[in-house]
Amino acid sequence: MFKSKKIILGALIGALALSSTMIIANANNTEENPYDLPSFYNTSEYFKSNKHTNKVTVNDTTCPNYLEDDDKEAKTTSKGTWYYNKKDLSFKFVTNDGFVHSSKVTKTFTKDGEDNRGLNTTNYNLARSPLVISYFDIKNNKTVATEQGFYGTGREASKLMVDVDIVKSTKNGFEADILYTVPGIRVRLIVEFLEDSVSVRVPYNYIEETNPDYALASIKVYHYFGAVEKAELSENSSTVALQDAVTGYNFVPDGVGALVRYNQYEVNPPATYRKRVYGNDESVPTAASQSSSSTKISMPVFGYVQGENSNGCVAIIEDGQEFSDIVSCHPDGTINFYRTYPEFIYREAYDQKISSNSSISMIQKNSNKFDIAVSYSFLEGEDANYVGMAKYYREYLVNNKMMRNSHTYAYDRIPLRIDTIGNEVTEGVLFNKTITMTTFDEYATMLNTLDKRFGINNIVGVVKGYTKDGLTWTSPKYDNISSKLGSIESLEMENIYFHTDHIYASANQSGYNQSKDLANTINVQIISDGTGDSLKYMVTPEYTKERVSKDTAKLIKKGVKNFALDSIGENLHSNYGNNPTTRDETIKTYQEVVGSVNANVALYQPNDYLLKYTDRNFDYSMYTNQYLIFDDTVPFTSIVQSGSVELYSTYINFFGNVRDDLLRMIDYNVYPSFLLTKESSSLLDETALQYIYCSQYDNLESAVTVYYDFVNDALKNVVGAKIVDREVIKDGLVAISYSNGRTVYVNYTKNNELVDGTSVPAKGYEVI
Amino acid sequence: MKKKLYSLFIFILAIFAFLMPARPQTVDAMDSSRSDGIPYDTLTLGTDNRLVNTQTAYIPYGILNEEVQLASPEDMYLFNDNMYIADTGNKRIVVINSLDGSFVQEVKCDKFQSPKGVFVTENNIYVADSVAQLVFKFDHTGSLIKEYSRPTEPLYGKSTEFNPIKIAVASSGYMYIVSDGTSNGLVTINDYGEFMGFVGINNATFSLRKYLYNIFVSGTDLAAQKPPVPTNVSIGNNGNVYTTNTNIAETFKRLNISGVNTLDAGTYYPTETVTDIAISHDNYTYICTLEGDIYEYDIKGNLLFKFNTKDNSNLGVFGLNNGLNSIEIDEKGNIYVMDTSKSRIQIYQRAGFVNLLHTAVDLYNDGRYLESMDEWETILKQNTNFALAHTAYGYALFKDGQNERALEEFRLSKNYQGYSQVYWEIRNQAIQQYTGTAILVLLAVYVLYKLAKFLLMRNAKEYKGKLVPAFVYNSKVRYDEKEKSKFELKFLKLKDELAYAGNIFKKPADMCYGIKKENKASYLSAIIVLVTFVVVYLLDMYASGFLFRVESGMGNAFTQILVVLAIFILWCATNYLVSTLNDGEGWFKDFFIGSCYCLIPFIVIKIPMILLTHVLTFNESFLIDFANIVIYGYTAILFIIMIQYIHQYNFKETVKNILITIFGMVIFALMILLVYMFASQLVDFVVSIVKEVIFRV
Repeated sequence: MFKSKKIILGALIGALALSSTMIIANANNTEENPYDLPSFYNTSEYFKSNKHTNKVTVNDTTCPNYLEDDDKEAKTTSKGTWYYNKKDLSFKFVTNDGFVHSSKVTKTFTKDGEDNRGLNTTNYNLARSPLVISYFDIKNNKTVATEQGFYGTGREASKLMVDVDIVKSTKNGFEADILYTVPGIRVRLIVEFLEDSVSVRVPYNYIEETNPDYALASIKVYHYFGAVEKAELSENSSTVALQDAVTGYNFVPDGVGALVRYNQYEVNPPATYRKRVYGNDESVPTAASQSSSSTKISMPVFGYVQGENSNGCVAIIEDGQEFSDIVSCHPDGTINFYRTYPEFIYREAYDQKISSNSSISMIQKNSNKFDIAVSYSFLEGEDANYVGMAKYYREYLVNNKMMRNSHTYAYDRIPLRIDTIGNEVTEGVLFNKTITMTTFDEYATMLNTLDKRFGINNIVGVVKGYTKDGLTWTSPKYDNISSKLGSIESLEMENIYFHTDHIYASANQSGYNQSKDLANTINVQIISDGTGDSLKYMVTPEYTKERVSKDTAKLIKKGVKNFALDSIGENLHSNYGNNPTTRDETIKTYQEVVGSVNANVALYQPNDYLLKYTDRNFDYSMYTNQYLIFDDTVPFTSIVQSGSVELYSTYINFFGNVRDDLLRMIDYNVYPSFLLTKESSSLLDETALQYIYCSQYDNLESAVTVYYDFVNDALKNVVGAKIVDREVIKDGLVAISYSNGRTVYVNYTKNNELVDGTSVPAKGYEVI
Repeated sequence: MKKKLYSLFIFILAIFAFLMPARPQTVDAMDSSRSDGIPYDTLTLGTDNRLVNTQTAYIPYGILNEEVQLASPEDMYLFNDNMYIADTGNKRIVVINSLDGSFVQEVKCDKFQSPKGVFVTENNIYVADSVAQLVFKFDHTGSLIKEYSRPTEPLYGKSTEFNPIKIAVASSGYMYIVSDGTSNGLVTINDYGEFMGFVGINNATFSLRKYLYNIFVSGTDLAAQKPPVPTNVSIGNNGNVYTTNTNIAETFKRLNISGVNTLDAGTYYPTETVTDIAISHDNYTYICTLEGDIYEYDIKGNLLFKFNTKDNSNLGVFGLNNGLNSIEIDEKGNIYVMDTSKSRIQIYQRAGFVNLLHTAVDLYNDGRYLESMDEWETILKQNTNFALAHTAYGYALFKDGQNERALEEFRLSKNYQGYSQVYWEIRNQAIQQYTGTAILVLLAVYVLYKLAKFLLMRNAKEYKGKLVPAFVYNSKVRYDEKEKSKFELKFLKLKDELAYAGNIFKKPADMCYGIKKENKASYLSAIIVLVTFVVVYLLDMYASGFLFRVESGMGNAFTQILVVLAIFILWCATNYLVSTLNDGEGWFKDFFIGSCYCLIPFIVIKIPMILLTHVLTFNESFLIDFANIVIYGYTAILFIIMIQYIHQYNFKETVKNILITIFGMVIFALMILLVYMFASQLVDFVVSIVKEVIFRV
């Protein structure tokens, strides 16, 4: 009796062993089924929103400005005439067509007399001040800065609050010393009139803080340059008709590029847009800091168009951009103007934590040291739109050797970026556990299959997590290749990039010096990101430099030919800890770092100061933050980079509305990217990569091939060409013209469209 | 001198202040892999009721009321492509065409004071007004037909208020009214205005705090145990009444006729402030919260999607809201949500993935597992973390006879019931297949064993009274003759000591005597037992079969070991201290060894149980439960006996000793906690002063 029980037990154990081997041996089938790729075939309705560029019927525009009595002619060029007002240091440019660009708001004259354009006296006075400074009252430790224009406020509204000393005044411009009497701050404003542009500078050397009780906080430069007043609604308010409107928009470089259109009817005025160029400085956390989860400004450009295809202006912040905010205002009931301007930040207030639950407010002690230089260039005719601005900026970058004129890639099929993950490390029962997602052999097989079976032979590969520390738990240290992944010999290294992220150090890894290698904020804290498994700290720029040169040298010896440097392109932080660096110094360090890598480099969404080092831009985001102040999304940064830097999308694995995003890639000239692994992403479920919910090659093969073919058939015609024009023919139908003479029509709507004899299929495209 | 000391003190503090680890500055990052222009992440349920990322299910589409200005609207109801909006601030009901956002109609009434709820039927528009304390019934032209005021029936209660804020009307004309402050549940009134009773009363929450309040505080309503008032009401397609609630675990309910929640016990309930619920024509449930979340559930109460539309930037982002107060869903599956503070209704469009999922879920919930197989497979291709999909696919595979694959799917979704079912089937097949072979193999082994023994025993010799084969005899004799080294002697002693532990089963009382008086065990042997215990404890936690693995969530193995050892040491130390005061006779060593040896039954019974868990299913789980009862009961008894004999107590003293020991342990733990807290507070305080001085000066 007892023995028979034993026998049954033995049999049970045997059965268990057998069944588990059968589970492992379970084969995969990849037969097609009709429900594959649901969001590709099951498309959604087009809708009008600030996600797209909308069609706006161009009305005749009126000019928002006039010449005034005090305006004296300064210079006549082939494009127009410069006027300059010595009293308030304003200037105007009258084009040959008679359009007036003004650096301030001009008064209008109605039958009731002078009109301050709906502004109260204080605001009107601010509106005609060329430089508005704000300052901190250090003596009383006031952490809210006080604004000061040329005139007083309230009862002292007519009183001049500055001493202006015009040092130099020529036909080509003027130099003026301005002493703000109350805070005792002296600045020098240098304005130079050129052919059809004007350069405005405020050098740091001339800034003087004569009263130790006050410290300069910020300077707004010509903050009503190109301001446009909101037009009155007609009597019948239920139908929105705008009279005497200036048509056009302000351009804001948020994310990929955004427009704030004039005189769009809004039930509730949207909030003012303000964002630091190149993103927040993570080392100076202020109340105004915005969530870093939003898209950033990567190019310090803004502008306005007043009358599409007739008059516009593009402003480039040439110096001091890393310390500037770009501000865009919408009429809000008090100040009924659309305006976009830069504000340069010298000092900020911040909270200093002194214990776990109390903090004191402090003011940045040393001023940021930088010169201000903004150049405003006027655009006319066909160039007076965001495409013209982008083309102008592209030329500016190329002329200043900040971007290559064109990349050297030439192929008859577009490239497809395939990223893969080698190892990922996570906490195990006793020790760390390494999960191997894809070996080099498996990756090579994957790429080979795509080539042999589907003819996708132009693949840009990126290997992530190839060290023994895996993808996320790195210190950062990329000098070894994990033996778990086999030999890299099976890979064609010419087209394979090795991924590194030298900005963050994983909290789960040692190997760096906590007090020396981690960046500190102004309030003496380390900068962390993520939680639990994915908790990581930002390292100092010096440490980044040290590690990049060591790691890349070692990997190059092992045969690596290309590097994809993550985070360095889009992160810009100062360091107040060991080896302090300011933001502009960090830029220089990063430029050295990337420039010194002895191999090809691809960057992830790089800011413009790193563009010259690369011809491939990975994880390019095709969106803005879609703030309600924006009316349109425009591919400004993509037009700038077209033909010079190849743009690669974020992973299509995670696109929810694939068809629309693929169309957008065709519209913006962006190449597709996938993240593919050999093993199922369910293995990553309890790691820091748990947000990766699909990546297995066998699951995604059909998506890769179908989506690639869809984009390739359009973009293969314009490889290496530059975008020269982009026109919205009607809502959801866009024509993009390239320098090689081809035009791509993209149709986001669910109807077939006919344009100039060409039919463009619904949710499709046509290239002519 | 004093000054010097003082400055030295400050110097040390200053150094300390700077050595204090810098606090991490947290920045929230977005993974670039998700930047597809959707301002929120979409989540679904992964394993262990964990929210995991998934494809975007709903895409921001636009704003419905772009042409109609609203003032703090509180409620809306979609009927025949018209959106009826309780425009509370403007004291009107406004109707907007849901297809193009155009103004259709306005319903106004002089008696409107704060119309907060609206409901529409084929013939009527119902409006709930809490300030006017009335429910209005209009026809579709906007003329008032009837008013319903506070029920006068005695059943309604004398002091029960009637402040209608939300309303839903069944096809029978029964009105289900949420009345602010009426905690008895929904007020039901029929078409004639007769009170029909309360339905769907929530349970009052009970807590220790409230209990203590009740003891010490009297006459105030601090301790009042009124159940929470439902926040909203809705009616499903087959007449089910749904309510939303706050401050209780079941934040939404599907009520049956007697007011009982009929959702599955395992339903994942939102933890936010749920404000509204809507049921689509195909029986999917949508919920919105004041924190900006939108939830979607299937008819069984499985969470399909969750996404948070809270606008943290406060800049106003297309597709984000400040907070949500009302939700509606149209035939195409578009979601309409109302943001009262922004007076805005945003629309979200359904993405392709949702249609696929709905097809699959509908088939699955109808029990048509096999038909849904292809869909689930595709869904899993798109998202490998989707627990529901793994479960459903598992059932489909199981139906299809692919048991091993089904087992893997259930393992991935951690669906223990499904896993148990499939495993039972697999095991059953294996038993049927292999029983014969196994019996034959065992028989063969048995025969071979007997044969070998017979052959070897042919020239057996007697060694210490036992018959052993010759070659064994020779080696043993040779071993006995050899002089034993010190180490060997020690080892032999240890062997004896460990063997002595076996007495715990036969005569625990004698064993205690042996430990105490005869030195039959040592620290070393006890520690070996303790270490074995810890190992078995860990094995139980990490190496049990899938169905019986209990995850403690106490961190990794090292933390577990620390916790177990800390408790054990605390137990021994406290007991020693307590017993010294209570005339206990045992020394620390005796008690420590005794305690360690008491853990032996755990070790001995648990190991086979751990092995067994690999072949058992839930059908036989009673075996494990029974073994556990035996283990813990037996161990407890052994501990009592051990304490009694080590300290020479009678039973009463033993119980007293145990209770005091446990109490002492708690006090010990509290003390350590207190000291730690005070110390860190003190350090924090001093550091903050020094830091302030440093930063200010």
